[in-house]
Amino acid sequence: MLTLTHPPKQTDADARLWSAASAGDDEARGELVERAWRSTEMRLRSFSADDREEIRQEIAKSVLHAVEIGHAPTSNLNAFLEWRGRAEVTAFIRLRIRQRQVTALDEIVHAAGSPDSPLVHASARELDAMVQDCSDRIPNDDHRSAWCDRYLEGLEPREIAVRRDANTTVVRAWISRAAKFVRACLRRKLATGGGDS
Amino acid sequence: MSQDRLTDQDHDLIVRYAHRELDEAARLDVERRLATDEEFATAFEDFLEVDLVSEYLATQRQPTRTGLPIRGLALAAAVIVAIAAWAWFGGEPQKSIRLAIVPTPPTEELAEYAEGIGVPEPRRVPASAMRSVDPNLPAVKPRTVEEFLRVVEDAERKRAEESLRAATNRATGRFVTLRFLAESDCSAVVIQLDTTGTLRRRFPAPEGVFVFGEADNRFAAGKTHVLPRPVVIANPHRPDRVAAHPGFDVPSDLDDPRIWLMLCVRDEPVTDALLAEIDAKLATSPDGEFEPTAERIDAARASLSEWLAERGFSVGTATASAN
Repeated sequence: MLTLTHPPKQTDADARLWSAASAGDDEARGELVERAWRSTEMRLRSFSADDREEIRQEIAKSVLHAVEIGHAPTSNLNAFLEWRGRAEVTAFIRLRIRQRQVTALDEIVHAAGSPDSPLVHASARELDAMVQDCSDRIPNDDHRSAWCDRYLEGLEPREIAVRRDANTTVVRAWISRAAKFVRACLRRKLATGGGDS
Repeated sequence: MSQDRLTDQDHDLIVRYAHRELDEAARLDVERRLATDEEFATAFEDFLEVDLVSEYLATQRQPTRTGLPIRGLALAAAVIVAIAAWAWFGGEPQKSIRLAIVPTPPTEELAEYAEGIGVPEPRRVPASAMRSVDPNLPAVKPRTVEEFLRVVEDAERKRAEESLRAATNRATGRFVTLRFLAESDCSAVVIQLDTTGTLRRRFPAPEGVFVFGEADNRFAAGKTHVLPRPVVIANPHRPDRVAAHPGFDVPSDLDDPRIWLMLCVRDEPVTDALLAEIDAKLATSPDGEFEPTAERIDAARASLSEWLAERGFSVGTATASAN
């Protein structure tokens, strides 16, 4: 299980910083953006300078949007900024995947937040075979169907909901639960050299 | 596998957060949980890793229009949308299309429309033109048509860039426009498929359907274009007035008010003869006799896409829903 590295509560100093940023203090806004960027930057070592700058801009927009919308984070500010930064990195990676501009699995895994993931030790072809095998092994019929609809046929949750005559919320839950099974299955396979789990 | 104590709602949030489908308040709430709830954060990280890797693997399996995979041609038809997509048919790579769909705020009152696209309040009232239409509009310093069009164009450009960046392939609203960025000079046809199975050409507008100031059917590479035309333009007959057109409408008489807009582009011009051939092809659709199942709709779109690919078109699709 992930271990949280930040204390859960907002400090008084951070609460004041957020308030100042909300009131339009440019220096405070700049600090928020910088902190979000610093917490994310290390994930982007393999990215080009242009890509890093693009992501930095997106992070700045996202943080400032949160400031302007008027909802203050109640949890630790560093944690909030880190997750916000990661969300922009993830969105960037997903877009690049869909544009077929990502060529390395480890680039995805590292940016997604799991630099020590065993998934980076398999080739894409090996991993693909494992994913397909693990998909077939998902024990719950609904979860398996939703997973296959999503990742093997390319349907969106809303479309799967129509196909499966289900609520979209439930479909997303099926996909997420299936993903949990597939991930555990993949890790078992990789730990045993690709054998049956 | 460890016991999963998360609820369906938790898993739903995880997927929606990963795919940026939450509004700002909900997003902040998820980020608070990620920062304070280890089980939730772990579940999110686990999902994200498998989700991204599976999307990546899918793109490696075979050509597809969404970046996600398809098992066989019949299942290819099941891919509903294609945004920022590569359309590949017949074994030859086609032109890449970056496409987004953008809902149009109400255009009955231009001030309301301007507000809807984010134009700051003091700049929403256009020129004396609209004041002459509605005497109740607030008295503000008159603005020229040029100034109003410029601020609207800036706001629409920003919306288009954001939509293209986010690869927005779905819109909710009665009226929408398509925004696209072509990799080379091209011409376009927009075909609409609705939930009854009816296929209809929407751009260029068929004979008898008048769209005031429709875009010329030639689009320069590297620029963002709007179809059927920008929502607000200068009235070519009255330079002191503007003309508004909200774009493609979702027909109100559909039981299931959804449409798929297929943007078809090719480098060569679209001739009248080719339009006639397309219209003849569309006329063979099972107009109004369609059971609105996802499979039937997908099959109709896939079949037409193949036919268009044989004529040099690349096809991207976006969905609009009135609900």
